[in-house]
Amino acid sequence: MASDREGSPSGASLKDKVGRETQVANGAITVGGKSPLSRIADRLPLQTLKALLRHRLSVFSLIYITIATGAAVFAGPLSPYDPNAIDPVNALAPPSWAHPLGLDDVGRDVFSRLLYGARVSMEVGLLSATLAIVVGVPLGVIAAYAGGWTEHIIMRIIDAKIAIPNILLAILLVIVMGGGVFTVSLALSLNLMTTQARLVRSQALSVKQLDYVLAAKALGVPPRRILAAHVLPNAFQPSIVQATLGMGFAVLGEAGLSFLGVGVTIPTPTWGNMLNLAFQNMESAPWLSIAPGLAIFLLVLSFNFVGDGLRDVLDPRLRGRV
Amino acid sequence: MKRYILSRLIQSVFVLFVISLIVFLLIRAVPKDPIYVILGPESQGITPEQYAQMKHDLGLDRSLPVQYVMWAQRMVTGDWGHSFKTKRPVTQELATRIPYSLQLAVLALLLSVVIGITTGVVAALKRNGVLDVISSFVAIAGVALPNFWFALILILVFSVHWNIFPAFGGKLIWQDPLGALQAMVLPAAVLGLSGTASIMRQMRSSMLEVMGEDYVRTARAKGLHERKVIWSHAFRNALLPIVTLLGLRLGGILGGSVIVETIFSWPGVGRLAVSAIQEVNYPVVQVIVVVSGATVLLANLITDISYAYIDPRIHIT
Repeated sequence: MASDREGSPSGASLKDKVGRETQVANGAITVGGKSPLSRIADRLPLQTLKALLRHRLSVFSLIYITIATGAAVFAGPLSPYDPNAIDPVNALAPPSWAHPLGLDDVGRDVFSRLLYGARVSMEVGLLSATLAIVVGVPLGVIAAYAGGWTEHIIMRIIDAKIAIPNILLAILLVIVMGGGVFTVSLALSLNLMTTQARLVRSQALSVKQLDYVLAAKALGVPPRRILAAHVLPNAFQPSIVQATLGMGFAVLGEAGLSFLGVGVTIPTPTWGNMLNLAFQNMESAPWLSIAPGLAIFLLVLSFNFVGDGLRDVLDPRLRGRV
Repeated sequence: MKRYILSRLIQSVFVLFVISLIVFLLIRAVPKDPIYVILGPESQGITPEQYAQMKHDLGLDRSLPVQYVMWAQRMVTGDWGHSFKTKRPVTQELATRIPYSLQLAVLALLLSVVIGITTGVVAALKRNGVLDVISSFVAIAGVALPNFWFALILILVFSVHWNIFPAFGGKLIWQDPLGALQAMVLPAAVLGLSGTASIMRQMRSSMLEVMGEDYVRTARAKGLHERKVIWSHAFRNALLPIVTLLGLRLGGILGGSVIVETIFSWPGVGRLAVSAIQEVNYPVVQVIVVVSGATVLLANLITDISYAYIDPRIHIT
């Protein structure tokens, strides 16, 4: 069980209302001096990275993610041309030495737009996965801890969200809030949020029943502490795995929305709206669809592989089985 | 069992209420005035009186709670309203679209079940064989491949380059069976890919798991023919988790094909939904979202109940 990892033999000290320190013999309660957040940070040490590097597919994926991140960060200096500079005379020109991926329908350099497009994908991926954790985790914890009607209502609202077709909900939200990186991320993070909330809730429910948590409760440890010391650290690893996979979904979702013309719209270059242009000029310039599509596919694939790799590495029970 | 179904149904009604509330508020939050969208260019010369009259006719001059209650009442009594755009009853609009979505979804589902289950089983039995390697590639691609890009490539190859299959337009299978099948090949391939991938993956892993079970060893030990062991002992048990996947797919039949229908100009519910959202066609958007939500809930319920019948170890209380 995950709880075993907590079991350092050192006792922890707890302060009660009067300020007295209480030694707790159970090694699990180690809130002591360190803040829960830094403890969580300790969970993803170099070892994890090292173990991940043994996972071959994860390595390739990490390399690709690094390249995509580099393209996103250094799109400016790396781009041979201004992504929005038009050249109508040479519109839809095929790939050449000057323009390795050709020109689009108004003569913008496709390679430069591809680099800038990485920016939107990475931003949306990161932002929606973060939003999903920030909202989804507390929601799941509240549902598990409040119980009763509060839990019932939260879970039914989540059910309702899940029953509405994702893409329709996202289109509606983006049209309501207006397109752009932030609104698209917000709309897409809803999908990931419900997953996070359900995950954390089930973790919290199972941890709640463990003996040492019951013991801590009996000792009068406030629920907030139990949450910080036991529930969140246990839910942390599956949450991170889920967030990594979620980044893939978000990248795919943004591309889909932008392809439909409701996400991040032209002139901002994104891989999705580049594919839309490719679709419109399919017969005269078929090569336009290759690079952006491949870029999306590889990025989503990479997030999936890293997510799977992290799951293997973080959960020793699964090691070598997947 | 009866009590379980009843409580699930009550829960579902509450979930449907939440869904209806969400879509009702969201579509009204779209910063477009349906009156101007309905009138189009004619809205230039409209007088304030005419505007007010139209708003009144559509019931949009009432307060939001009143509008919601009136709509909900009519939904329950079976009056699903009229499309702002065509003035036809929404039920009629849906009735012309649902067959298109349904036949496409059924074909896609059929493809993914047949391909997914057979390759999944073979991949498990011949581990690390050629098919196993191919199927694991498909399984990976099916999850990460953007379906609109896949569609684009298929259209480029099969419509633009070779001109074998049409890139757009829908036909009904009972009107023009051959034409419909031909028109459905590409969209069904795109729509079925992710389903194929997930069924294949699940089938392979559950088959592998079952083959290691005691009862399979017992069956072999008592001298049963290997074919019998595989098909009547292992396969039947390995099929169980597929039921959940099928339930999920069935639930997504109406809302799951939005992008595919848009790319292939397929006249189904998904495309209707997208255009209705863009035209702020309140009645159509509301009904589509509620109906597809209800489909999902119903499919989930059926899946859970069918489990109790298929697997006697599961008791639902």
